[in-house]
Amino acid sequence: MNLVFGQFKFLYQVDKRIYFALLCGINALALYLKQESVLTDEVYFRTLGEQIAFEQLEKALAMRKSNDWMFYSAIPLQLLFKVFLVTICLNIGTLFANYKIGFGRLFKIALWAEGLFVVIELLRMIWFAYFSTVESLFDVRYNYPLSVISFFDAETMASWLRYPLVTLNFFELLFMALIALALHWEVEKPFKTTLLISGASYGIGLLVWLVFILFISLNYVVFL
Amino acid sequence: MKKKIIIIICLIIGVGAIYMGWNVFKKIQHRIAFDKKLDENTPMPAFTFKTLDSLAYTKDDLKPGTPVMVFYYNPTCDHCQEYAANIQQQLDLFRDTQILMVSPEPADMISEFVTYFGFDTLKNVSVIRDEKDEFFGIFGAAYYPTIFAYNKDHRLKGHYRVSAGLDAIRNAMNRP
Repeated sequence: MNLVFGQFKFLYQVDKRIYFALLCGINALALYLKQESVLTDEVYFRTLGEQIAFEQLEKALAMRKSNDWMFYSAIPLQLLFKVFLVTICLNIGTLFANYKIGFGRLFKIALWAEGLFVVIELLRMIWFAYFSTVESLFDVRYNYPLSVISFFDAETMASWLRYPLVTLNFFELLFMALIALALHWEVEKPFKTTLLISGASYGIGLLVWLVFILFISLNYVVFL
Repeated sequence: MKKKIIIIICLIIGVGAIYMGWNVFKKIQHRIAFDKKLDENTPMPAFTFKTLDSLAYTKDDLKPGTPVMVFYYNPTCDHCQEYAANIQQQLDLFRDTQILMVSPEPADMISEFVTYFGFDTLKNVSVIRDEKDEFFGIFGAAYYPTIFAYNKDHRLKGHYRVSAGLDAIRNAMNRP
């Protein structure tokens, strides 16, 4: 693991603020591709044309375009929120493991590992924009590489199952491994031990998150 | 001290997660049972809607032994209008059936829609209004448009959205 990802240690040593800005920039680029080249008006009409009247959909799309700036300005907040949650999970895990590591360093670990998902999202949008045809919102929302949902037909399955099956993917395991690696660098404990801690703390955190999302979607959202 | 606080927080989160997990489990059970409404051969559910004259219209008002097509629509929806035009052009296909046209929209909009397509003059067409917006909960699907095909025993033989052909729907209604 060290051999493969040790080359990325230089990224780990970059200043937190610069790295955060870099991730926000990549996220913004992915969002731009998504809004301009992937999720075009035709895609929305094809997906939602049966559920919403034409005029209403046109109005909704016009509103979406005029409020684009809100999506871009939310990027740093979204990123901070997710990294913060991951940091809390790691904080709990390292506390129970009696590791002497501060919140700031754990935040840096979570932020560094988050780069994986940011890059994956950009690659997904590049794929959809230039190498694939998007017929409906489903193609983008529920087409995640190396995820459990790839083995099923997302359109015909129960709607509440989709998000959990998208979330259960190979990159989550890789994310845990990256956290374990960074933790190994920081606290200088064996990688296997840090992997156990990152797996347990992030894994349980992810499970609680999935249960929370299912709770909200099954109780408060009629159509998922 | 810090560890104690973290343990208490974890316990609170744990209790919250167990409550949410139990709730999710019950909701999923309910959803699975709900989705069965769309299984083939499910009997037509009981319903009470209103005619445009505000009279109650229930499942008992349907003629037994005659296939039924339930057409759920919105008068302003383009696909619904296309479907209505198709049905109007192929009325012979549905001569020996009952057509139940259901919409949650205001009565004047419904009246304008059915008059435009000539459904108000047809004896085998019943135009009713879902004033309490209960269609989804009763039938299990409510896209604009949705068509439910029931055979002569009033058992569900198929439910369709915009791309389904009327021949396929009529054939489904003929199935035992």
